[in-house]
Amino acid sequence: MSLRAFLVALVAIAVAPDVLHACAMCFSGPEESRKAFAVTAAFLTLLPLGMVAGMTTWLRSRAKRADSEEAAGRPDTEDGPQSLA
Amino acid sequence: MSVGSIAYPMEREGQRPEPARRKPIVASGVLGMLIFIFTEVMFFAGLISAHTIVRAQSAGAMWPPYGQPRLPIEETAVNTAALLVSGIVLFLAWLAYRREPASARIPMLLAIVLGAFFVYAQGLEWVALLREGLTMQASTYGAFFYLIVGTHALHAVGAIVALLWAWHRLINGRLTSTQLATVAAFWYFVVLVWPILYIQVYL
Repeated sequence: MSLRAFLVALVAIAVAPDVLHACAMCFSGPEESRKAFAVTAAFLTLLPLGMVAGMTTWLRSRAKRADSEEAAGRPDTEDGPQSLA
Repeated sequence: MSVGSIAYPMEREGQRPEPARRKPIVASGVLGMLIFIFTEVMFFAGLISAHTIVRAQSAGAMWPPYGQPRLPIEETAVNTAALLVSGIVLFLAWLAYRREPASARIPMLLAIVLGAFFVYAQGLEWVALLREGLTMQASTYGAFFYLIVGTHALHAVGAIVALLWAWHRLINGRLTSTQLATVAAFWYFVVLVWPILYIQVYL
């Protein structure tokens, strides 16, 4: 797709999305249904991001704790700095 | 190791010490289970989303559809309570295990019994609903009910089998903390996802 065509498509989507019908669920059906589509789309998008962010934060906190324990001269147990295992 | 033509003296003598290996910050079993649980969370999220949309599309119409039996909210609330208590008891078993592994036997067995009660009671509920005419083919309502609740029941059965395996190792004195934490993580997932399903499907 050329840059011009891309820009035209972008403007069209921004100005008149209901004309394009690229997203049938967004512009048809009862209000409750469209709301459900929007909510579940947001839910399914944010849930994995939230889980990855939570996991990363948790692992970082455990790594920091392991560092501080190592610095204090208390080596980890066989299974790691375990409160969970 | 050689840098250019220079070889370290210790290497020549074969005495170079191994670099200190850092212990893992999370046991491999627990990490693997957490990743598995993430995929399961997304699986149930997909089911819940589909159910939400189908239910929303029936806005204005009856839900449950006309002629379909109502789900037993009160009885299932009791099952839900049993499952939640099971999760709490398993946590107490974990605390007991950390003090003295043998002391975790009874609370762990109690957690398994409560979990088994939940599955058994859900099974009785299914039999009653089938007799009342709620089948997978009867309506979208029935299809979603059996798909979501049945999938959760399968997970519950799998987790109970894993807990039984862990309990067997515990009474033989061979259960490690990593094994217990791995199995417990799966059970906590089964316990914590259920209230969401209950609210979504039953209420």
